Amino acid sequence: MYRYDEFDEQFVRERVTQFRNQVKRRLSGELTEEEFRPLRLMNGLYLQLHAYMLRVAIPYGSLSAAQMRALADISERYDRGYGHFTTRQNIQFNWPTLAQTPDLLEALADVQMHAIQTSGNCIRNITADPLAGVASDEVEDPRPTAELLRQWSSMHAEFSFLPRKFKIAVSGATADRAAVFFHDIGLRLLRNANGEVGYQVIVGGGQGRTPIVGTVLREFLPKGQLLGYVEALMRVYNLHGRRDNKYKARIKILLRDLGLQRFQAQVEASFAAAPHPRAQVEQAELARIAAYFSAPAYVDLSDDDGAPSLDPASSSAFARWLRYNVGEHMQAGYATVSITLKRVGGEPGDASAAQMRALAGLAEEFSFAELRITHDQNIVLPYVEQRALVRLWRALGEAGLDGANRGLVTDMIACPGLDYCTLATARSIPVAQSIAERFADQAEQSDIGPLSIKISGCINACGHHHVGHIGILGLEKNGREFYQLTLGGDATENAAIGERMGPGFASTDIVGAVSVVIDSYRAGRQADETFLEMYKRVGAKPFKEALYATDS
Amino acid sequence: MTEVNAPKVLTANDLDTGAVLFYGIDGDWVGSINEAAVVQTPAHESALMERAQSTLNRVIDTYFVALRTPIEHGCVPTEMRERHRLKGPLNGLANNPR
Repeated sequence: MYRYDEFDEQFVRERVTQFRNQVKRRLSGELTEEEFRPLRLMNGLYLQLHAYMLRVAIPYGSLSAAQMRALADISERYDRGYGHFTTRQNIQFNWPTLAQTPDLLEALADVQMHAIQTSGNCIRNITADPLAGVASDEVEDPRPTAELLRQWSSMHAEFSFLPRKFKIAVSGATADRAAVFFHDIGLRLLRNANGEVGYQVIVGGGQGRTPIVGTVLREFLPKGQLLGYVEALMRVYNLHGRRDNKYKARIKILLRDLGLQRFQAQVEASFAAAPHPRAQVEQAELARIAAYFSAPAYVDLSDDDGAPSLDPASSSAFARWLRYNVGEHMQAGYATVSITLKRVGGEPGDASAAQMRALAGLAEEFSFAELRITHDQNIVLPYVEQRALVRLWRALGEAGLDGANRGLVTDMIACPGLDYCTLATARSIPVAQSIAERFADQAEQSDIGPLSIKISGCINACGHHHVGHIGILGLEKNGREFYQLTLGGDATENAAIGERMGPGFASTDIVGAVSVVIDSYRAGRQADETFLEMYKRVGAKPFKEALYATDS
Repeated sequence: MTEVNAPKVLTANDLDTGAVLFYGIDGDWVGSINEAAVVQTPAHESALMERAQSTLNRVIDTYFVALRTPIEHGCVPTEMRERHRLKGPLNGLANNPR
């Protein structure tokens, strides 16, 4: 785990003091809202529909048990006893008061956390594969790169006033679990023909009102050139990105308008013009940072038969959890464990203070005190001994965190939507809840198999609906909510944007429509093909026909 | 499209808590829409806004919300978004005191 050095610590504390002063002046009326708004946004504090919302950064989704415990305490002390994990691996508190926010930020600083650069036209949280450092298909751990970028982007003087927000994701494995094709910059660590590790640089991906799959700008960038190259890229964007129209201000629009060749030429020119003695410095810095992410003190389990023993009394339930929520690990005898925050009847991605404490305790006992937040609003314990899995599963059961549905139809992404968000046009949480209720039966979930539903409450797509196998977009028409369905989205390295099926559905009909889609899949699938595989084979037509058949 | 003479109330969010508030008949910001001062014409809207000026340092994001008629049995916003803003999230927390 990375730890702040003295410089980081001092900076964050000073920032809190500064904000405390700003809040005092706002509350006294000395600062107007117009003067104060940019200041509070710089500290991650939004005004939502009926409360403030604070977005706390969780760098590349890595969290210590101590930090998780602190988040639990903070949620109780300064909020309403829960937090919401987001599609950028952050956490949001939905009910902070302005007067108490400085104390909240101070409590965060005590555990080396903050809410800086989680809002505004700057470089946001660097996200990464939640299985970083443990995935069995890993080429190289993306966390040192993510941390290097975090340090580089924090308060970067040149890039603090970008045309718009900027999001970077890093993947270090062959499978892409960080949605790198849907970020402003996506980086994939890979080996070239000489066996050297470098980056594939992907630019201009994104969702929102203009979903676009990112374009490969550089097939292979040597490691030592990363910051120089990314700065060149940022410089081109900062200079030429549109500032006249908020909806056309992301780098994806600039890339599309310039075309790849011209864009590439500009970046290469900017890169060539900048000084590069830093390449050496960068390599040394990366190596220094990498030392913080060395493997934990694994027990040598290579001779053990790691197969967890099955207690006959619980074998079926345990076997189910093992199948869906437990994954391979690069270290012999270990496993990765997913904990889904997708309880039927709950709010997707939410964890209560009690659950956060339970997670902290379990991380301490089973996973070297470390947790990961995933961009699909779940938790991962990255270092679990296989021989401890039964005990962990039982403990999760006691905490109500043993949902065995990772990757299944009830493991949905949903943004907060019109229940919380000022930008929303429709509610998303009730839709997620209705779908979860409809498919609560575990046997049915298993039969449906891997199916990723993603729900957004407005066109900004914070719920990632464009890349859902089934995507749901909540809009408003004639004073009522209505929901559009897209199918065939894919957030992995097989990046694809979902295709809209047709006219939207009323809130009373959307669950039925989802059922029709799933029924069509089950009726038409061949052998063991998943929903997505079938969609790729047969296309949209049979689904459209089923959805919009005149007699349905 | 909201009629020019639709009844309206003035809303804002509390500066400290962000809670939804309405400008009441007594010149206070209140939590219940049914206690809000209702205006019927653009001239009355301006007058109400004028009256509220001295209290604006305690609230943020002030704007008028149009209501369905008749209002005698309760104030219901015409816009869906405003109705949801009143209700709060499903978990019922918006209306619970801390």
